[in-house]
Amino acid sequence: MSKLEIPISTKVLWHTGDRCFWVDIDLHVKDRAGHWHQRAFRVDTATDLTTMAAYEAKRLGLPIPAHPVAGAVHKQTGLAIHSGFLRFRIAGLNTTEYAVSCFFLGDPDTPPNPNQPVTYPRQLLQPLQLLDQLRFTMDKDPTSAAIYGTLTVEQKSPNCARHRLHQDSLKLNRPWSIFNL
Amino acid sequence: MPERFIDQNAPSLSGGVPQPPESLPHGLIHPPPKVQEVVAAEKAKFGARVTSSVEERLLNEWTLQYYFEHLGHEVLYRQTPQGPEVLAVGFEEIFARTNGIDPEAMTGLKTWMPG
Repeated sequence: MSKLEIPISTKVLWHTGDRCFWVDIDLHVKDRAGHWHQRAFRVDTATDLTTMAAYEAKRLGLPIPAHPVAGAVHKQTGLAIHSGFLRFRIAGLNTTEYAVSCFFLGDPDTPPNPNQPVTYPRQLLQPLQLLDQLRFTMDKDPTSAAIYGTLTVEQKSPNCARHRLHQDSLKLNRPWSIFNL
Repeated sequence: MPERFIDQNAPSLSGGVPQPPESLPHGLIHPPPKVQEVVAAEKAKFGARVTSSVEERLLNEWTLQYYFEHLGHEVLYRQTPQGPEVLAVGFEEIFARTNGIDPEAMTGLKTWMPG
């Protein structure tokens, strides 16, 4: 399947009664051994880059840089940045593999503290990095059972995706061999 | 426009007390009356568009929100008509439950993420 429709989710803010809306997408992230792990990411155009916790990435065996970026921290969380790539498939779409620049945040050996939500690194997918390969459309059909609308993720061209993956890794001069953690 | 329904007593708003994953609900969780109330309101608002599968999804997601929002833990669950069956709470439990399993074999399992 080269098209995936994800219903928009909503929740009630219990304190105020307001509603807020979001979309989570399941990704199959690829580890160093070529195995896949299912992880949910929130689709977020406002995040600078795709992010996830360095600790969780290491536990999953994902390739991440051995050292954090010197002299820089992630402004929103204050955490160290391991700047690398996330390789993944989109669950329910097809088997095409994608890669996006990713900030793996925090100490890879220290679990983030969920009781400190301000500094908790979240799994955010920056979809605008993927527009060469994928089309993201948000819409709402007043007759549909998707009562809050849908995010449609559609592959543009499988052949193009593979080409772009290769091109991007070359363009950014980040060969996979540097990820040796 | 805010809705009228506000529940200051939602467990997820219990406030400031760290709650380890093992202390949080596991297994089948029935939607609390407040969640059922909101789902009923949506059914009244949207009518036939709230199919049984939509209703089930709302019941499951909002029940998880009711119990787990603001606690910082992801939840691995199976959606059921009676409410979410919570299989694992927090990264470590989810990792222990799913590591080594081909994601393609995880059909029916969903991950809920806190806001």
